[in-house]
Amino acid sequence: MDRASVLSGAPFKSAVIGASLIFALLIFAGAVSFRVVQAAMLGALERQLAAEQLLLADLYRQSGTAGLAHAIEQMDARTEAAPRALGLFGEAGVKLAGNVEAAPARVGVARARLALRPGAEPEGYYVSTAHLDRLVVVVGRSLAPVLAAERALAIVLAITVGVTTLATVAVGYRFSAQSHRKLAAIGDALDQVAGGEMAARLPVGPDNDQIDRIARQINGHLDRLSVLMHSTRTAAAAIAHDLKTPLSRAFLALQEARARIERGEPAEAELDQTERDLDEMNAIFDTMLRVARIEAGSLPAAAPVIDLAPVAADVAETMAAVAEEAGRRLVLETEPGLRAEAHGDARMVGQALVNLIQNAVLHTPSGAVIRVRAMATEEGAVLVVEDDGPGIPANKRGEVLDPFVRLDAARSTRGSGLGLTLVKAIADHHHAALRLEDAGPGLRAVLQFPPV
Amino acid sequence: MKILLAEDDERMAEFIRRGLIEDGHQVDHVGDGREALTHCLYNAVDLVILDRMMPGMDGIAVVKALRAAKQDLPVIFLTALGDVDDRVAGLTAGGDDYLPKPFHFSELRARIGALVRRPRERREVTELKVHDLTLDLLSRTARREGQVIELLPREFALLEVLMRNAGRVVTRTMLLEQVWDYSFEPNTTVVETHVSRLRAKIDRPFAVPLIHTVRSTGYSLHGPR
Repeated sequence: MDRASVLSGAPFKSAVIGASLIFALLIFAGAVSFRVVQAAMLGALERQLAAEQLLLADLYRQSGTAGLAHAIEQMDARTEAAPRALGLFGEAGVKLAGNVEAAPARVGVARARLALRPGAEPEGYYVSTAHLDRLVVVVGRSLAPVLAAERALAIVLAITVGVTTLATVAVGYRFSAQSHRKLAAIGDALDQVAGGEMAARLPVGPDNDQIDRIARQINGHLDRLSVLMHSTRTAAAAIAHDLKTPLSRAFLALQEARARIERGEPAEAELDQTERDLDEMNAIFDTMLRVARIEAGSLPAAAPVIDLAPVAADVAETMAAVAEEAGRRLVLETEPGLRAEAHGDARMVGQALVNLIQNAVLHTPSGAVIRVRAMATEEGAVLVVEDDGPGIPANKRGEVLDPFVRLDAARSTRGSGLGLTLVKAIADHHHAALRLEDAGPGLRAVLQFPPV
Repeated sequence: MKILLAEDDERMAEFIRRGLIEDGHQVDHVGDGREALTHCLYNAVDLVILDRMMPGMDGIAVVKALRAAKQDLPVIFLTALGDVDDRVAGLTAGGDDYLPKPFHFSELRARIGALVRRPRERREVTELKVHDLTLDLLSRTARREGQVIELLPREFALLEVLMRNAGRVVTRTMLLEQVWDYSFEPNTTVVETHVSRLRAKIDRPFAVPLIHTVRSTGYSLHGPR
């Protein structure tokens, strides 16, 4: 795996940033703890020294200068594990007793580097200086334990900071590597799809993290793409056949017209036929274009709410006349005063109804009854166009929605076979379901719209 | 009329030109959008027939420029794009009519006739009258010889289109566009059926027929000539 791209990955970068923050915070916290511990230890020392100063002050009051000097010499003589700094000074800083060479200039507590034994290295001491009448008393303790504690604390803090930072960076590296692996797999799968393998899908991991969710989404889109490509291929094949029919008829009619003109005979009928065939082809193209456009887009979220009942009534009024001319009967069966609401485009929905009714007229025998209804159900508005003709066999109801498919019996009748395709496209556009059911006998076409 | 024909397809242009000249119009032809715009701005033109897709400047842009220059001359779009959205786009841009290709020449002729009348009047009219037939657009009633005639909504709309174009030929396609706005199958009888019902209501009971069929073109509503 390419280390450079793992290092440039977002998880790694966030881990580095996190680690830097932790590092800075720990350093800060460490410094504060350090200071606190140091202050505590020095505070304890200070109290100890203050107690000793009180003791010596007592001695002075009891035994005077000489007694104090003697006591100090005594104390200094005793060898202890931790030698104390002691000093008694008189007027003008003359040393009277003890192991400190000179009195510190100021009263109070301070650090000092002292060599208490001749020839010894100076060491760190914490020293308290006080005045007793005209005397200066100096008491001090070694800082060695404090320094040792400070060193230990520093080491612990350093180790903690170091380990934490490294651990954070390591975790970041691991996660970056993991997502890098996933993304590489996705990239490979997409390359496959781009290369023409429409069946390839992206791997989806078990973690359900963001990458997995996106992979699942993309797979959904690839599924849809496959369906569209399949229907495009099917349509392209069907076009070749269905447009060739009127095209061939037109050719034949023109040739016949030519022959008649050469013979000096009128060719009106043949030329009219040619025109009709060209009209048919033109209508096919227009509908194909319309279907393609409707399929390419989808109803905008802000589509207005329309009442489908008047749309059905309007189409029924228009088509009733047409149906009657063709020897069928059209009946509008909507309850009066009903409101059937849906988000949509009234023109498109009306067009879908027109197509369904035209289909019903085309595929029923003379005398058939066609019923049109608008209904309001809990699942949304419903439009129904039902006839009592021969219907469509159950196994053909799916394919009849594919472009240009017509059932064998209907092949000889006019009508482009695109009518139902447009209805399906309009239904999809409205997120509505188109169902073709057996009306026992006859066909029932149902458009179920989603609820408002 | 002086007509400017802007169409880049030579054969189509020749076909239209010849037809218009035979009808007695003067025709100028350009094949490019920019030339069309320039011609309109510097010459007197009564009508423009404008192809939508042209080199140089497309038809929509030409119309927008004309309207922006306060040129009110009538514009008919010719176009292979026949979808309703395209038609709306063309009319919104300022076109007066929109004719999808391929078309019958008689269709173009009828639409030129319909455009030549004054467009201003149309909006404010509340009543249409031809011979003894009146159409009240406010109350949506039709009267002939004083009798009220019951008309269904589409029949009323159909009669309105015929009356607004009184004396002129209205083609089947024009009626389909203006009265219905749905696409019907090519050999549909929608128009014929509704015209015959209209005739049954407003012509047959009376002495003088007003609705006349113009063979292979369309219909025309007028009183006795």
